[in-house]
Amino acid sequence: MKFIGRYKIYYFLFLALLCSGVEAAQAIDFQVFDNKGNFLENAVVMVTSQDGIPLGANEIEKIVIDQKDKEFAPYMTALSVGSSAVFPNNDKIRHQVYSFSEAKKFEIPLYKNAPEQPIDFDKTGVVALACNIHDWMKAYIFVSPSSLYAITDANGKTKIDNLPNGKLEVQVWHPRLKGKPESTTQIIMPTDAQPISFTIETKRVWRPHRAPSQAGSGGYR
Amino acid sequence: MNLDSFKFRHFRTRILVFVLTLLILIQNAIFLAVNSVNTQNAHHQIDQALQLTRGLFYDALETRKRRLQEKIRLLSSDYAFKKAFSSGDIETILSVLENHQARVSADVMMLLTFEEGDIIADTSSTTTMNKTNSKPFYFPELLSQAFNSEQGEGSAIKLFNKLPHQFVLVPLFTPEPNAWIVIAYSLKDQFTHQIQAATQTHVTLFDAKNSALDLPIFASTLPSVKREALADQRHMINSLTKKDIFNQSSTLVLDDEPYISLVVPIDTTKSSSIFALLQRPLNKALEAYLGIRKTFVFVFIFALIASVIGILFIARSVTRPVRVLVASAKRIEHGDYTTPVAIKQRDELGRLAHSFNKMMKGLAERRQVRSLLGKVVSPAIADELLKKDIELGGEERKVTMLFSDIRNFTSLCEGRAPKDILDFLNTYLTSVSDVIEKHQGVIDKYIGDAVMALYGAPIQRTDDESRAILSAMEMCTALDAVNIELKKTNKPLLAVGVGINTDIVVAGNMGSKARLNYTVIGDGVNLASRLEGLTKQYGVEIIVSESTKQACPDFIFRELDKVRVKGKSDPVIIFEPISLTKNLNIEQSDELQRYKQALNWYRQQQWQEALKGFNCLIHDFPQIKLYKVYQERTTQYISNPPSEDWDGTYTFTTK
Ligand SMILES: [Cu+2]
Repeated sequence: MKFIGRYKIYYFLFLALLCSGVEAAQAIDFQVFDNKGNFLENAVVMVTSQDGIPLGANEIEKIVIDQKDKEFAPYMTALSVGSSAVFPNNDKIRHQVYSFSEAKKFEIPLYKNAPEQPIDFDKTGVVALACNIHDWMKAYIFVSPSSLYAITDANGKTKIDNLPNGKLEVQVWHPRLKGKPESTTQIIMPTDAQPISFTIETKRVWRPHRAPSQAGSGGYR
Repeated sequence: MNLDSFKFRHFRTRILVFVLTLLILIQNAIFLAVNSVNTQNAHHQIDQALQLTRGLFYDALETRKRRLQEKIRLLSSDYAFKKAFSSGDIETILSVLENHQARVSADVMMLLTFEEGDIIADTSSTTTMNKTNSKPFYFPELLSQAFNSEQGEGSAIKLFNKLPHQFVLVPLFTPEPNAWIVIAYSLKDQFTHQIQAATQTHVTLFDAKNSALDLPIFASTLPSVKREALADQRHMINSLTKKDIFNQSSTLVLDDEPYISLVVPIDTTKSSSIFALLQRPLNKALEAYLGIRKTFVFVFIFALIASVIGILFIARSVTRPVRVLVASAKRIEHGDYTTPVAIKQRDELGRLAHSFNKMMKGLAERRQVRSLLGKVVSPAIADELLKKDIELGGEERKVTMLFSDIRNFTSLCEGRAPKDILDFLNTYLTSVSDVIEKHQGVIDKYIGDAVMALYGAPIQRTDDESRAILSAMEMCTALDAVNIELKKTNKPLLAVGVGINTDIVVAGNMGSKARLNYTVIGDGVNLASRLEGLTKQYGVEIIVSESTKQACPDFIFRELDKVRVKGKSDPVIIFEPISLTKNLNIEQSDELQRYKQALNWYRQQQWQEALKGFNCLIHDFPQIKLYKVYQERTTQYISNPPSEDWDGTYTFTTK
């Protein structure tokens, strides 16, 4: 159904004119800004071939997403398709992790400590994680077809190594992404070691308030 | 303008009209002022209450909205609902909505697609939605409001199914916002009653845009009669909704009862055609005052009655003594000085009555003095004395003076008790005085048995001399009664001698300042007295001077003599009045003729003829002494003739 599990993914086409060395591996710095010029943290930058074909060896990973102090950690995770994740509960209370995303629908009923089974992510897309009993708990898993991806830091910066030569397509995704892909598509002529900047339009995000913590440590998030 | 028509004949009416008019004016002024203040105050109080109610009204809407939001947030974060939603089964979703609607007693619930805002499920719709018949949400502005809001929530009051509904719209998080949940409550009588319970203010919700003939009222706390009256005033109320400022109240009369009304838009952004009419009855605010007003009317009526009674009483306390005084004044006018005014009041009227009584006493005394004065002096002099201030001094005027005396009075006194003499004298003087006053003479004084009377002073009349002579003639008969008695005892008879003279004398008040007489002085007075003295000599009762005789052409006089009296160098001719010309008989006329002839001979010194004439007269009238006097004188002149220059004057050497 078209109205369920909608995530906007904006594709940025990056055409890299590579040097003569066929197997020469490259590293490119990326920096992502929002439309107000702020650094955009937790943006996923993914590189595929010009035709959108995934690149790099499909590394199957086992990711850990902790639940600590009634928050998911990390907030943003990217993994290659086929990887799995476990959601250990480090709090004294129970959590119930779930996702209604198209990429992966699952539900781990109220549990403590580590769940027995890891969750497999065998479909590309974005999985929005939430906790049934804590409305504010939120996390994202970017299930990437390619293994060439990175997540921006607090300065909106990130770096991807081992990029092959040839034309490459770069996708940037963020939970606050807004607008249509065509409107932001651009062709850039990068040179070696020159960082590439992206500016994406962000949308307003409505967040449920965090409930007051009983321990008194949290307050409002 | 005729001022007379404003004059009141009675003091009572005047004071009554004045005080009552004043009272009514003052009462009216007070009433109007109090009324105005109270009505203004009531208006002000209601205005304040209405402003307060408006705040509460919006608060109530806000509270409802928040409660709606809470109710719907419960659903938006309900895990089972999220699960149902993610299943994509529309019927299940509708069922969940219906269940929740029943749970929170909402009127409508809907689910909308997130991007397009199309209706996925609608509890108010009978047709089940699917992909092909999906229709857009009725209020897209609500969606954009939510999209642009901080919390992703929207709310508004909208007309839905012909009723105002409070709509709240929140996103459904799964955990990303993936749909809109809509909840709506209709605003009905329950809502308006709830506000009325809190504010004691009538609340009516109506549609201002609807062009129906009657005002479409959605909900109202007004009783049905008032509600119908309100519906009839659509134009009036619609005009109120067009005002830019909604904090001004107006007065609407519903079924004869005034209501202070405030129109407030249900949506503060004024985007809705739904308005609320907040109303409070004016009479209720005036209730306390209306109670006072009743008391006020009672007090007014009481004051009016008390004033009327008081005024009547006061007026009576004034008019009654005045009437008594008027009656007393009337009595005094008629000569009653004996009844004093009996007013016991201690006010001005009491003092007036006291003064009045004193005045009456004074008047009585004055009247007594006056009557006494009239006895002491002649009434004419008394009048003259009372007329003006008494001052010493007099004026020259022509006066006829009369002196009378009783001849042989001393012989009468012999052998009699003084009291008897006084009694006799009083009787005599009374009759003489009566005669004088009858002829309008004025008694100047009594000197023993002598009387001095004036004619022409203080009041001058044209016939003073005649009246003096008539008085004298009448006085001569005053002793007739006494003489009859004397005749019996063979005593000499009493006779009256009267002298009358007319002359210019000084008349006025003479004496000292403390004690004075109104009298006359002058030569003429002495002559009159001398003439009286001469009567004895000639044996006549009355002698008048020539000046008096000349003023009395109606009388017949006999010339007695030409004499030189003591103290006077010029001789005077003296006359005896005989009678009025018309009363003269032939015998008298004949006698007078013979006497005149004899007197002529005497004057011409034809002594023998004169003697013969007088003898003849004596023979015929032996009782007349005058003839004997002349017989004697003639006899004397025959033997001893007078000097060559004798002019017929006889000189008395003794008084
Ligand atoms: Cu939790």
